[in-house]
Amino acid sequence: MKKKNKYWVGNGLLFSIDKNVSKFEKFANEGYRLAGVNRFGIYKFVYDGNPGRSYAIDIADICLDSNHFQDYLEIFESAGWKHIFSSLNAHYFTAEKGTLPIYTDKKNEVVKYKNLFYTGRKGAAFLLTISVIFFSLFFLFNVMQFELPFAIYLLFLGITGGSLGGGLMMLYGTILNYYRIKKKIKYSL
Amino acid sequence: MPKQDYFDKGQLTDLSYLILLVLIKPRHGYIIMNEIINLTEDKVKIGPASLYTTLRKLTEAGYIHLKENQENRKTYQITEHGMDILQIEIDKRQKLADYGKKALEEASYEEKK
Repeated sequence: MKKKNKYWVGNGLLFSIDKNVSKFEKFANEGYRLAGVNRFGIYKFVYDGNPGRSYAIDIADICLDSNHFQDYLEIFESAGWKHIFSSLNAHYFTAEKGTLPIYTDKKNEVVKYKNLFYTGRKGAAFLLTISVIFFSLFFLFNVMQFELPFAIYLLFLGITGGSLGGGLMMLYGTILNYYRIKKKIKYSL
Repeated sequence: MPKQDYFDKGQLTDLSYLILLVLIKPRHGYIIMNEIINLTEDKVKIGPASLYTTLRKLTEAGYIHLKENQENRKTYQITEHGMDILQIEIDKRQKLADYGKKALEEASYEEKK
């Protein structure tokens, strides 16, 4: 008896959309359809026994409540791509195998990587700023020899380390997308 | 000072060109794809993300606009500015095709000599 649900942590859209889509399609071949994502970024798959689906992820900055989003979904629907869910500016679609891909030209596909680049840049800037702030606080309090409980110092260090790690990863992803954009632009006339 | 190169005005990709042609009449977004397939006799199929991204670019450039009609549905249509650009583009593509035919004719004439 197959397990009803599967969970997967994902590959980081910033790094590789394609790897995520390949995994979705691999699960689909085993009969699991992509159902959603929780707030920690973990994907949920539900068993329904139907193999063979295609998946696509688009990155587009559209206000989810707006008419523009309705228009966007209708255009995808008319091409056979059903909307499953959205997470920030990432929109997840599914279609029957063999459906025309959502992007049919490289020039427009570059926009997807541009959006990822901007998201990555914002995220990296934010996280690195947080790490600098908390490290400075930690350093400052140390230097001024404030009588703060050890736990607070540990907290500051933890936040510094966590945001530094996250910020550097996002920076790496941002640079990756920057070179993707350069490479794709080179090939489109 | 040389005149502005005739071919510099209104640079449109093939995709934008086809979309503008289809939007001479007002259309809903989800119809555009099928209209392009009809217009090009099945030769050109556009993915939904490519279509949406191009519609957005054309709207920002002022070549098309989004209108709301009586039933609260939105349709895209070409603007006056877009029509001007389209006219230039049709003439340009016509001329380019004529130059191509002429060059081929001259080349085959040379061969026969």
